[in-house]
Amino acid sequence: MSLLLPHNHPAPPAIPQETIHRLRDRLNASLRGKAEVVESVLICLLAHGHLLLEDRPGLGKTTLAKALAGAVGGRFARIQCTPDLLPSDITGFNLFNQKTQEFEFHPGPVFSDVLLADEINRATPRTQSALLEAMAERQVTIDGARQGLSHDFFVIATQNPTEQHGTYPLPEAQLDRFAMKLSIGYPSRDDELEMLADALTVDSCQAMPQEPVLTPLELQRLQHIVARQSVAVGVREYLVRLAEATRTHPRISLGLSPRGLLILQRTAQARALLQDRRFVTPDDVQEVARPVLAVRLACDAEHPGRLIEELLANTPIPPCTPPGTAG
Amino acid sequence: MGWRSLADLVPPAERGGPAGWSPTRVWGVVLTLTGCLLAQRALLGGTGHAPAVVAQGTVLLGVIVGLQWGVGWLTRSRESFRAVAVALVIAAFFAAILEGGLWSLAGQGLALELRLLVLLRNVVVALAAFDRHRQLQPLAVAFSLFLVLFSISVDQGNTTGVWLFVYVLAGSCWLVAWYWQGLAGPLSPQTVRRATWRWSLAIPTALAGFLVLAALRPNNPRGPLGSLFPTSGGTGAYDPTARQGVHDGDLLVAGKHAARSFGPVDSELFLDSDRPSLYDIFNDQYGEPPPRRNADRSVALPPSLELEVEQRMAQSGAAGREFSTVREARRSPGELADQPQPALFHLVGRTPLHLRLEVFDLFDGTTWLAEPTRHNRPPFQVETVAGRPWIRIPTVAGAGLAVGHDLHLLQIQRLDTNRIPTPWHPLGVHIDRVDRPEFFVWHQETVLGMPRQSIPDSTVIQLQSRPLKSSQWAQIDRISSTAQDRYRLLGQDEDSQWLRQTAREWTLGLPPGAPQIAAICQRLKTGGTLLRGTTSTTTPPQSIREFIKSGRHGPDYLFASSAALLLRGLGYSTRLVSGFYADPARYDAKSRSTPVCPRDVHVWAEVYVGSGTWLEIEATPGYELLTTPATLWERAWQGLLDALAWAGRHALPLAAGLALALCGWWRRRWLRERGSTAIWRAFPSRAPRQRVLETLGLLDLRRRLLGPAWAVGETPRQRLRACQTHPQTHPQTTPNDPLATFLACVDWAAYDPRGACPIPADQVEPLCRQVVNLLTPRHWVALATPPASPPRPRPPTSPGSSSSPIPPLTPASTA
Repeated sequence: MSLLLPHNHPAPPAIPQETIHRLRDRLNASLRGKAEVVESVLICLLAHGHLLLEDRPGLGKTTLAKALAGAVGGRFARIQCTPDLLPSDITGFNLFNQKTQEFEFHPGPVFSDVLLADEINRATPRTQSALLEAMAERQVTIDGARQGLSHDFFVIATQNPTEQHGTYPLPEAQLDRFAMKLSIGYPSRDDELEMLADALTVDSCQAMPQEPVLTPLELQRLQHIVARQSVAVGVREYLVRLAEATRTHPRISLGLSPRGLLILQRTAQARALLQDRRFVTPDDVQEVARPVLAVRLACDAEHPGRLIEELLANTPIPPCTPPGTAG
Repeated sequence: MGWRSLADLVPPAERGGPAGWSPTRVWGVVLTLTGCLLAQRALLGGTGHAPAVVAQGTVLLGVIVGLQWGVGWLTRSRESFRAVAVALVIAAFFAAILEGGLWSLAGQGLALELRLLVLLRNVVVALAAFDRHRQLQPLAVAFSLFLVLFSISVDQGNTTGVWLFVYVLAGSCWLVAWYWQGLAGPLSPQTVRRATWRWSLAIPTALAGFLVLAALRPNNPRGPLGSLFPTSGGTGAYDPTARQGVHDGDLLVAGKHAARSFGPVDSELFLDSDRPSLYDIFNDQYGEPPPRRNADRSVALPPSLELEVEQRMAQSGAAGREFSTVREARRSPGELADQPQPALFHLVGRTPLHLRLEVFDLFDGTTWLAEPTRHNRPPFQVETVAGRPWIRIPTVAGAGLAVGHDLHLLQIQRLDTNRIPTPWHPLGVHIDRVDRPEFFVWHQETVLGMPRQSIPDSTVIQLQSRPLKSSQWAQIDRISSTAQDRYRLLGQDEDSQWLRQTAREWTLGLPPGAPQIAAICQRLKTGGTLLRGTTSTTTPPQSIREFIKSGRHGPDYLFASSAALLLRGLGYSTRLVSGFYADPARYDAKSRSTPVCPRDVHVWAEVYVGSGTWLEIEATPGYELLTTPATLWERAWQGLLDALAWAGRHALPLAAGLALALCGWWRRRWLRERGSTAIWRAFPSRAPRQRVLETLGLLDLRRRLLGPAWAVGETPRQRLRACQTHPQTHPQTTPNDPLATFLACVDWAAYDPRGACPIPADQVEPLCRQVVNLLTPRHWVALATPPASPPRPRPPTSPGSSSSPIPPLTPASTA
């Protein structure tokens, strides 16, 4: 019978809800009327993943990235991807110093805490692949020397869904490095009215830089708490069923990878934390499944969102029984 | 895409709602139960009666469901599934071995095949307990099939066909459900629907089919079902490997295969023997007639018959060929009716069948005299059919009453007579390797015999005859009375006059012919009681008049004599026939034959209908005539009429029951909901976590029964939130909404193994009751009803309106 009883775990640390609220408020203040997007960005940040924003220009992608960098108190860097962008423009390069007669390393934008890769699909595949190592292993290798990146390295990449001429679609391998794909969308009518009113009173040139909400250490602590969120057996079973459903669906050519499944669980844990819970429910899984699956499912459907909704609707929820072994 | 991937994608345990009773599981349990009951029946040697079968079925069903529940509880985490499965299967083997050992020690050991049967039964039950796992369901069904086959091979009872029908029906349903679940997994959106109507429709359909089969009233109970499970022999067709049936195979005919064979050796024993003459089993069954006195005769004979009758009476009395209607008490009245008797012969073929041995024409008031043997009958002809010699019997027209052919096989066991029990309207007789007509004689006008002292035992006689077409008989409106005078002879004494008067009274207003004959027979049957012979405790009636007046309680020869004499009183020509009655109630499904024993001696009457045709009439209660096999339509129609008649006799309780059933059907969902709620209230779990989940189960059940269908991917929160957000069901949503608190408790109970309950434990029960009272069935019904669409706002009619209207000019508000 011991197999059926839950394992003993040490008591989980307390959830610093105050810090989370402040972070959420800061981002909401920067990106008005997009609370659900902010929530997803926070989930991605706490799950230690990377974010792909697919939307039209001028909808606040850069604003969001800057606000995030300012809120977590890290360095912010931006890359405007173009076809002539070289990998060394991203990772950095060694430059020979005539004075010292030595090569000096000039770090690229990846040596930051929050990196905004704007219009990433305009960069060549060679340049895109330069981000692979950085995103997956949080390190880069330049001239045979391995350079570690910040522990909080967080990539926000954007791409324009409408203008496809002269672009290089991201390969599946690189898409799998992203945790989520989000679309900000236009703000509502009231939010736009309020935005216009704010623009009359606040001079953007006089906007003062704000203090960070949390330190990198606090962010790491939050990410550690997320990793220790409890996931019941039934929820894990549901996660596996969902992954299997993506792999066996006739219209999906590339389903969820094991790495994607791990990311799905971690993002669900992050959402549970944001909901002030210490355990994950199927609602958390479903909530994060939409952006997580959107970035990594290769399908022939015209509307992948509907396909994901169909998957979620058709994958049975495990019956509600007293939870077994906890993770 | 293999079936395993489909199965794993959508396990059926969650398909059928919280209880997890998917169609494959339900039909799987039916298959298992059927197989186990067949095994129990075989273990009991096929002696299980209906109450015992019902009791065993209930116990087995309880064991299976209980094991399923227990296994479901033990294996709710997948890690322990294999261990528990192996443990239970081993336990099943141990149970069989232990049972066999104990029985052996007690000195009442089971046979080896029965031990194996017990083992197989236990394995099937153990596998059925694990049928929550889809992978094990086909294995359980396959084992149940082997169990059924094994049980049938061990023992075949009378109701084997019925059990097979149930098993095949359930197996077909299981296959359909299995196939459909495999298809439904990846192809169609899965929603939990209120699909009970499908199954509730399927079950009455199956029952109706079974009732139709029953309405056909086959002579052989396994007839319509036999083709479902083919066996060798017993079909009338020749099969060299047949193990059953008369004359179906060489192994049987030669009796070489096994002692269980029917063993009707056709002609090897057809040799002369010096057995004694016919033993008077009639006297043994009915009692001895009193010593004959000359003054007994009360019927005055016409001068033309007087001399003949005197000579025949002398001959009959000497040869014992007379039948007295006045008899003394039997010597062995204490003989039990249900005591098995050795069969005189076995009959294969349609029953009920009257087989004649002696025909009586003259009645002198107490005694019937045998009909004289006619020697001027046309000779028999030999005809070879399929390599076998058949003795063709010259027939008469039959007045159109005899239609078609019937084939009966008689295996003589100990019938010490040289007369062949002959059916009505015989066409031919066949005994293997007997191909000469001299071997057969007419004993009387319609009684065949052999010119020897007796027919040897184990002789198989095939008889071909024409059955009576009942529809033709009912249409006879004129009875010819051109038979000889002795068949109409009725005295002028007081009793005979009373019989004439009674016959006229009973047939008053009826046209002559079939209606009058049927009225006489029906009157005698109605209210009469058949007594097998007279005993010392009953005073035998001294005359037919006394028998009729005293309420018609007596043996069958009195009923037959009464019918014959009453019809003579109306001017019909009648005669009395003694012989055997092959009772369909004695049909032995194992040997597929009907044994005829001394208890089956019978006396009946015949009436002359012209054209040389004598028609059997049956006036004894409980006896029926063999008629032509009804067509499918006639059987169905007769079954419908019988059902309507039964319904008419029980109209009031039937109507009440029907009304109750209709009400129950109409409100079935409400009834189930009420019952579940009552159980939920009556038996609350003390553990808060379990109580919360029970409450969620009740709310889910309410929605499944009364509310809209939900997708299988809906979480409990989404399911309940749908009711919360519906404007007609839950308009007010406050911060202290108990539903929100309950949902938090549900999340905790289902997915938080380590955390504490969000609310104090003593508040869980009040909260659950509050939520159950809040989300009443009415809410779910309203949720299932599509809300009325609100009136669409009228579009602005200002002439300057466009797709981007400019807001109307209003006083500027403070920025």
